[in-house]
Amino acid sequence: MSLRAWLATRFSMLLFGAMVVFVFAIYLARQAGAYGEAAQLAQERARLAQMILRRTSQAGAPITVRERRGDSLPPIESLRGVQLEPSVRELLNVIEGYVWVLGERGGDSALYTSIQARQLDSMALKTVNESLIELRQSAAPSRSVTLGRQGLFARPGVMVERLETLPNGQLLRVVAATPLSAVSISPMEILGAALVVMPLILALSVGGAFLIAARATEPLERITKEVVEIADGRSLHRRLHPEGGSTELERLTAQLNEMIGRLEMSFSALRRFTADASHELKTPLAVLRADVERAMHVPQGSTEQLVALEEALHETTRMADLVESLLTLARADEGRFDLLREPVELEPLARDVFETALILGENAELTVTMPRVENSVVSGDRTRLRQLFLNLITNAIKYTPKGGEVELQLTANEEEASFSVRDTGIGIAAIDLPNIFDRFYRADRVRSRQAERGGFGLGLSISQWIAQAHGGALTVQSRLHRGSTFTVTLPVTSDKPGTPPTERRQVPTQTVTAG
Amino acid sequence: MNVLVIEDDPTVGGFIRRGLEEQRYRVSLVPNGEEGERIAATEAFDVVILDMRLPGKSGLDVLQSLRARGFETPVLVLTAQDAVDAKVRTFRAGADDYVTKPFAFEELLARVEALSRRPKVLAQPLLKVGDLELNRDTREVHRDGTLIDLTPKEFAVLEYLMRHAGRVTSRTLITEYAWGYHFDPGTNIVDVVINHLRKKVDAGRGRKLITTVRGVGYVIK
Repeated sequence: MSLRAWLATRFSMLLFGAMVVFVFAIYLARQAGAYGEAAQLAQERARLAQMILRRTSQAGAPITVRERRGDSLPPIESLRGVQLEPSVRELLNVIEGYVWVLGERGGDSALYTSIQARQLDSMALKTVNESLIELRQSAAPSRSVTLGRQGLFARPGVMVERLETLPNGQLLRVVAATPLSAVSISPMEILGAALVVMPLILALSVGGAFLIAARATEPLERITKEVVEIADGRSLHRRLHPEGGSTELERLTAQLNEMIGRLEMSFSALRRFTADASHELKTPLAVLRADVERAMHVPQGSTEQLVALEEALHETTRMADLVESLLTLARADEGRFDLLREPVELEPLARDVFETALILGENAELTVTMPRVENSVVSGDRTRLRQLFLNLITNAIKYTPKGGEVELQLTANEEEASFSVRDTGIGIAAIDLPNIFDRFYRADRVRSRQAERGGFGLGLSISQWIAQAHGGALTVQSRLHRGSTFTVTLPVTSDKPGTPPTERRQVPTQTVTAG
Repeated sequence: MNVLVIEDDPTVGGFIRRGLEEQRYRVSLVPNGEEGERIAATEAFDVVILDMRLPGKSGLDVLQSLRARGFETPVLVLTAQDAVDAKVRTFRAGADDYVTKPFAFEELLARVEALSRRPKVLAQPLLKVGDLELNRDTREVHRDGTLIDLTPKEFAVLEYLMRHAGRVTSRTLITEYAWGYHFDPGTNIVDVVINHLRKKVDAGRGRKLITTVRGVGYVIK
């Protein structure tokens, strides 16, 4: 997951969460205030109804009438056949909300029921009655009541009751109830609003978060791009452009620049060392070798002297080989692949190394075969490829006991050629497999060098380097006590051998080389 | 044939001079770049052997200023750096060939011969030891008129021995000649090839040509 996406999702989640909490908090705050306001509104309405009744009564008009036939009123209102005068009812109808006028004895008779209150069903009325009884008993000025349905979508409200004694001595009770929704927003409304608004908020917050994250990570991407360019090994002299605008990024670029500086220093130190070492180590070796070769030419030398000189010559070549390998690997570490590139036919190369394998196999009493040879052309360094193949062969022969088998195979398809060396030798333990290409690594030091004197543990590192420098790979499959198969795969080229190599000038491939 | 050797190290310089003189070259040895450049410009040489790392003016600078003045004699460069870019640099500066240190004299000689276009002593096609004949052009070997079939490695080893007929040749040098640099199989692979050669060349014949010199190598005579 990219940092940008991470930032954007976290940021928008946070923003969205905050919005939800905010809306909910507003709702709760509103609800808390709503009770008081609704109670006040109920009081107002009750007082208004009281006023109407008082004024009508003071004007001498009758308040209550007997029920007339044909009037269709809910049974609960006309229980005792008494109701308010129609003109009074009309006046009272002006008042909004739930209003009831009850007679002196109250309870089961209503002289007047407002239009809205008439819509309540019997279930709702039952709860209203219960609340009214509780209100009377509690002696509190108001009481919460449920208007309408029960449960999740109940309409909570507030109920009040006022007493009015008319001039004629008649006692009336005015009951008013106001739903909280009259002064506040209901959960349904909140939900509805949320359904409309939330996606909008969500889209805004995600979009905004993405923009902000993009802005915030854009310098990082620029830095990464520059670091990648610098880190290819050839541009270490370059430095990152300082990032203005944020202290963190300034610190990061400064630190990275310092690190690149150090890398540059160590790389140039390595380069200097490589150049110096090639001179400082190779010149004395050249002198030594020249001395030895010259001494060997002296005709009157004794055999003992010749043996010593031969020994010295052999060691000199070994030393030169070691120096050369170390320098090659040091350069490889720098990302430099010093190779000649020319089309190389693999079949002659394989046949050439096969002869050597046969000779070595004869000496070690092994059966060496090459059942399959398919020619292909790769772009590469003939000397290096030969070295690679011979390395694999000498290894296979070294680690295969008498009577074993070594099988070479060269195959090719349109894309790659592969040369494999399979042996029935001692194999490599699974624990050692990941390390066998490491420098100076020996799976089993004691065993590997009992009888023979051998390499320095650089052979496979060099081999792997050669394969990789050619754009190929060196892989191994092995089972302890069963044997190993080393396989080199190399990309093939469509160039024909004999076409000019990519180097400016072809360095002659030599059979006699410096040792 | 005149060869100018510009090399500050007396051992390497002396080694090259003696070796070339043995092959009847006339050799002038100069230990520094400035003097070498002066002599190269004033006397006529067939080949110049130039070391890259010299005290004072470097080999590369000497080469560049010689070429800038239209100096056309072939130049063989001795270098310790075998990195491709270093080689390319020397070629760009006008070198004709190079030898990487440490080098075998054989290789140096072969390259000097190639550059001087002299009739090659080493490359004369027919090598003879007694009734054994090796033709380097046809790659055929006859003993007493009978064709002997050799594998490429057997041929290379025999060729090397016959080139140094009468002299003790070291196993190391034979290995290097037949297998090249970087090859150290840890066993004496030459011995195996020599065994093959003995069977093919000497077996059943009164006169054995190949003799072992224990601990050193072989002689053919």
